Amino acid sequence: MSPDRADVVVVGAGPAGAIAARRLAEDGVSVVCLEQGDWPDYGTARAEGTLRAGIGRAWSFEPNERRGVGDYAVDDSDSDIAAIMFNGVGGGSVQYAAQWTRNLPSDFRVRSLDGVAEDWPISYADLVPYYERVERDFGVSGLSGDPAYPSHSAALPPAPLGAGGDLVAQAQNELGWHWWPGTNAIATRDTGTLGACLQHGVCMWGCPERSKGSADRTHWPAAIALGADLRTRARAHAVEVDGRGRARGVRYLDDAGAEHLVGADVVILAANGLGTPRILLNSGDGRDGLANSSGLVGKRLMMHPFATVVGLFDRPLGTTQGVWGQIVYSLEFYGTDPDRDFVRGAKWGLVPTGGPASMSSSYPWGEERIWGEGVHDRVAERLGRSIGWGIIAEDLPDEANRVTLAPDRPDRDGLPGVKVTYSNSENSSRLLAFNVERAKESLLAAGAYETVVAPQIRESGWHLLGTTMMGEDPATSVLDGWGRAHDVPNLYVFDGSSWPTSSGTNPTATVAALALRNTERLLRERNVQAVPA
Amino acid sequence: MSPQGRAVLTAVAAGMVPAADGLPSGGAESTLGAWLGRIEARDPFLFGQLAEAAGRAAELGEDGFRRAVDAGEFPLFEAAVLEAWFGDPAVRERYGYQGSVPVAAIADEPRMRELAAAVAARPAPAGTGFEAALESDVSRSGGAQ
Repeated sequence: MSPDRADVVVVGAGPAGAIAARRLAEDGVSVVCLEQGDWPDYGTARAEGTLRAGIGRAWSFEPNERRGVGDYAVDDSDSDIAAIMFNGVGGGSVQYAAQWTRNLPSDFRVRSLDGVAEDWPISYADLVPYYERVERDFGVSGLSGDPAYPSHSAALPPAPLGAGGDLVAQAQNELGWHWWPGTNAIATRDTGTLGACLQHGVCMWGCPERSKGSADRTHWPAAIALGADLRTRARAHAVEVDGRGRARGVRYLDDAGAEHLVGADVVILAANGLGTPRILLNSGDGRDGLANSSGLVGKRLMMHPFATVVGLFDRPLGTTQGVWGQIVYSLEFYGTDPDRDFVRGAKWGLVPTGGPASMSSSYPWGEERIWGEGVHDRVAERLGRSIGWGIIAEDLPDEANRVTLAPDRPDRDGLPGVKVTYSNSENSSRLLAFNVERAKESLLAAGAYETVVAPQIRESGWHLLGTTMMGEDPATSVLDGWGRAHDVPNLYVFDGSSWPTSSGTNPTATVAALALRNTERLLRERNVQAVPA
Repeated sequence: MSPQGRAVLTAVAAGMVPAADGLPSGGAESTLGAWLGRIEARDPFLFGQLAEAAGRAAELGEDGFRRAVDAGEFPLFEAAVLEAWFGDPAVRERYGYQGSVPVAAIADEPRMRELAAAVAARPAPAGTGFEAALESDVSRSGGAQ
């Protein structure tokens, strides 16, 4: 292999790209991965003290604020939700809360069950063996036996409920509502490259104990040891195709702005629901982009509208620390109920509220300002005496919600940023309002004397889904059920862009399982895989 | 960090967290002042960002910077004010806060299972259609695998 050619080039070093690269390298396939960002610098993640890690611009969720080497501009001025991401090795898993929730069987059959959107071209059963494997890799902890899922067990023992989780669990039982101890990619025991969690509660801002299962820790060291060539500060901007319409490589700019082409037999895009359509729309003939005969590249963006309800208690709950993560989750209102004025539902995840520096943050407290004469009382009410439900709403696809190129927002070398156009649907608004009221009931039943509601948090677009959807019909989808572009037989998309519907769960578990499944298939079929001339 | 900018940060922090009940303000030397000193020595990356905020504060003046903070434009500074305030031992003591300490994540599984038994005894949440989905999976899985 020459330095500028590999069997497979992967774009994006997040969970999907990492899983693909490692698995391919295990079988001796030469892999180059282009990652526009750097390795996360955990040395900047903890403030002196430390009451909360990661304060400061380097760990901001918002690329426009962070302005790191791998970030491109995101114009979200016409979006109800700010799209957020981490552009670096490990991708979104570096900053995720590590709530690890499989999609439910019904999530793959939304059309069949509820008459909305589309069914997936695959099923829950198709993913089960891959869920099991990636859950071991990511150090997923939890408790077996949740009746909401077909039987399966977690790789590691569950994290503690704590005083707050115990109260809420009791309340859910009194209400007759579903709950279950949280499943998280947070190691409760030493495993692989991960160390046991010590509950500092800073999971989203850089875990100091190496306990959170993020791909920079769980996959990349092994992938590199096996020979995968991970190139950081490599900004991929276009997939090149040959005369027969097959991908022949990826163009990227290095840190100095010099252009390179990495040739490959197969191209895998794993750059998230914004980055992947950005590359596709920037490729091809300059009109509709590449792999876009359906016209759906960039469309159907789903971001999971998100609300929080925090309960204030008159006793210490110890919630300055704990897994964050989800202490417990509830699927009580996950499915469609014909008596409600919306379809589909939401997953709730119970989270601690953190240390002093988190007492004024919009997540989970919303936009209420606490400063001035009342600040002493507000801090006393909140610090260690509060716990909150985070509510993830299933987001139905709408072609009007989309990602387009933003040539008016170029990076330093002229590569276009993206524009996000997104409006909450009436269904989402009703769904969130209903669930907020139920979450208040839950916390009041648990003993909260008051609840603080953030009816929708704008800075919550962690889950970027749907912008290159998979399906069986090339006229109505971009990818087939294996993540392969209908139009380009050696071009694949392995990130959440492929999702036909959003489910109401945190997506990393399913993104990871899909990536492993699709990679295994690629390996099985390598002898008949179409390649460039 | 410019003296003018630092002065504005200090004044705004004192207004955000006023002194009360024997506790210092958020802009006191024992809180923000001491914390900035520690940050400057130990975390120049973070200090640099606060210095940027101080630069903006110097441009905007006290009222303008306070309005910008209220508009949510300086979440780092907001977090820093509380972080610094809790750096004062008197504040920690008043709130009974010991800082972040390592606690092994070992669950009381018997208690957890006792609580979860009630959930396990109930059917899956209503209206989710899990059974129908699973039946559908069985009928389709041959073609999808």
